[in-house]
Amino acid sequence: MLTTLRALLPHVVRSSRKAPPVLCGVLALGLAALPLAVSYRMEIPYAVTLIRVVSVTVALGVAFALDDAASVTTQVTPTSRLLVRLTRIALSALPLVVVWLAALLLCRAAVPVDARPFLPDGGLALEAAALLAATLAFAAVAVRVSAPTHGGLAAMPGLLLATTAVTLLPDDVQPFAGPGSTRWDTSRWFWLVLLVGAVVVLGGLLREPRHRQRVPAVDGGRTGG
Amino acid sequence: MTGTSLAPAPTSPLPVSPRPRGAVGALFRIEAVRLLRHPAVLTGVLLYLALWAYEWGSGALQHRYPVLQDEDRYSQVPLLLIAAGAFIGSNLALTRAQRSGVAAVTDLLPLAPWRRALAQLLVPLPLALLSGLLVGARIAHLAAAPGAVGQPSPLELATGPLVVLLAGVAGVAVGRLTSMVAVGPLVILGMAIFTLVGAVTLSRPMLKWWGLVAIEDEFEPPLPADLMYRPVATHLIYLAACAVLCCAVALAGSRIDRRIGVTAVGVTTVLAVVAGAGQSVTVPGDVAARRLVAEREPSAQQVCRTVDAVTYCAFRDFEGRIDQWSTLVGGVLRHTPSDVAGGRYVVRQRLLFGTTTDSVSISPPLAAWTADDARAGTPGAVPVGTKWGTDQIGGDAMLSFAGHFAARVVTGEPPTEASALSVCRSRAVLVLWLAATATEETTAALRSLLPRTGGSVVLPLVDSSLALSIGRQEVSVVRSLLDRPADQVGQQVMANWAELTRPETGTERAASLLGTRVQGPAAQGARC
Repeated sequence: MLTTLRALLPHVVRSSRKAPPVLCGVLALGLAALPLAVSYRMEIPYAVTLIRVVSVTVALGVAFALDDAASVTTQVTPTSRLLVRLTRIALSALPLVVVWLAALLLCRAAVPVDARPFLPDGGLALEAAALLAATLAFAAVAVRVSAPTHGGLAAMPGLLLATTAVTLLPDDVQPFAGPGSTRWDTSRWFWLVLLVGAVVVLGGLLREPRHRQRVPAVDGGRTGG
Repeated sequence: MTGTSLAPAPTSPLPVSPRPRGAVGALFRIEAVRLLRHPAVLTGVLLYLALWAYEWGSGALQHRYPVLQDEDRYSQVPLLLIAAGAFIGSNLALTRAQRSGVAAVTDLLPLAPWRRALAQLLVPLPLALLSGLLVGARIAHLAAAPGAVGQPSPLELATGPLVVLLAGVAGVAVGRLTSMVAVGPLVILGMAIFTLVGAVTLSRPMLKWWGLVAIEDEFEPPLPADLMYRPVATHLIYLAACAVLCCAVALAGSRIDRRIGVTAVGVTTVLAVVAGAGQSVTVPGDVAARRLVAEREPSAQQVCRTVDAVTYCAFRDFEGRIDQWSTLVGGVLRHTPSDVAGGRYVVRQRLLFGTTTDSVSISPPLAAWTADDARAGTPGAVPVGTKWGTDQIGGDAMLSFAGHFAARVVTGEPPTEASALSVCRSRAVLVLWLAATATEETTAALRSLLPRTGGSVVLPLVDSSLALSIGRQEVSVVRSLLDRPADQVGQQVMANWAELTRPETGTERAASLLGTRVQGPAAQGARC
């Protein structure tokens, strides 16, 4: 497995699009560093909004992770499709997770010390994870039903439109609940369900479609006879 | 397909198409239909309709009491969904040839690149028209609501569709500059962040006018249309100038004469900057003067109507609100003895400026209001603000008005500092119960207010510092009364009216008269 991974990595790196994750990562860090750069002391609601913007930016960065123009030709290779795609996802998602954590620290540093304990890190991390997984699931659906290179093309606008629509929902069902509001705890369920749903969809779509799956083992008797 | 990328760039001038206009028209028609059918645009339109349908289906629209001179502006933000779809759709149409690997072949097309760009720039027009229809349908739907008041501004309504058009041509311009598909969504993200920043930096109101839509402070009370001030006309010019700038950028990138292209981009940039800077947020002198008159002596600008012996005076744009006020007032008077209910009451709509801009609440100009009422022949009028609704803000305003009207009935005096201070103990119980049982909406408003205040209730008069303050003990009595049928309690109220309204009657006595008990100790250091 590890050997396969090591052999796989350079090729996956070469066939991945680097510009979108890099652009989004730089943008996310730039946004998060802005309050510190102008020495603005952020209140908690502003910090939470900024972290949410960073979460969307980071999620946009992984939209192209599953785009693989060569996927048609690699169907017949012995490496499992699941492993290749997980490697692709890890390659763009892991650095962006680090970017998100760094952005969180930057935002935290801009919040006055006495208010910092009130920053709901866990709930925001859940939002970010759900957005990331939803983007990947969207891209996986697009890759399956459209073309192998259409994942990011659909997932990036899809995420933006969906996020905009969600922010326009009325207050009593708003998933982006205000920190410390009475709806904060209940709104976390939305994100948990989204995260689990996206992971399930992703798990189902990352494998090779059943009709294209290779025959696992060749029956020696029949081939021999 | 083989070898297309190796095709050399054409060296001879492009052959002239015999009917370039017809070709531009044909390209426009095909691309316009493709844009309307683009998944991003369809998603945007469907999400817009879904939000609308949700609002309708959940019954929120029935109890919204829309103020149309505000709703025209609220129509802009949901249209950003369609604008985002327009941007993505027209941007992807531009990069389509590049993505399909046929970009080199397009050089062989007989139609000049600038004419192709021109056709692409016209493509968002039908979508902008469709957005205009959606906005028109939306405002008509709101205007048909039973509680709708006021009049929408056509310029505010035009802003949303113009933003859709601008987004469409901006998508073309960005597509001309770069064929990277990741750039488009990032531009949208940037615009979304700018809109967000404009909405939260209320201390710098000019910033938001440089963005697409200018969002106002939602805590600000609605105003009559002639007292509002938003640089809408100049903002439309600014948006149009930005759209022209995008057109210039797209055409300049289409192999036209370099000097013409650079000049066009330069001139349109200056135009957009001048138009942007021309949006002034300073309230003009005449509007400020009108606001001062409307705040201190509004009677001349108002229309009065008498419903069931109670006179209601409202600003012309809010005349329809009189129906809701009279329902609420009728609800308060229903549980009072007939001689009290038959008294001469007046309700007058009041505006108070600066209640949300300063963090300290301001005291109302009671002397000016009393003089104005005396001039108009309506002494002792109970003020009511312009906020109304079943949401948190509107509900609090509704309950406050009900409380102050009930206090007017119980104390027999118009709202002043002294009369507000005299609402204590038994009177406080009575006032809050009358207010809460006036309508189902005020009951819901009290139930929504209590978790936010920790048990006591403060009912400000039109957002001013003059407020009825009702302690925890009195509120708990009212809560237990609300669990019983209102008519049953109402009979006890009418039977014991004289004792309940006496200022010296205690909370325990009031509770026992109404058949309940006091829970919890009296608040320490309470005003009463």
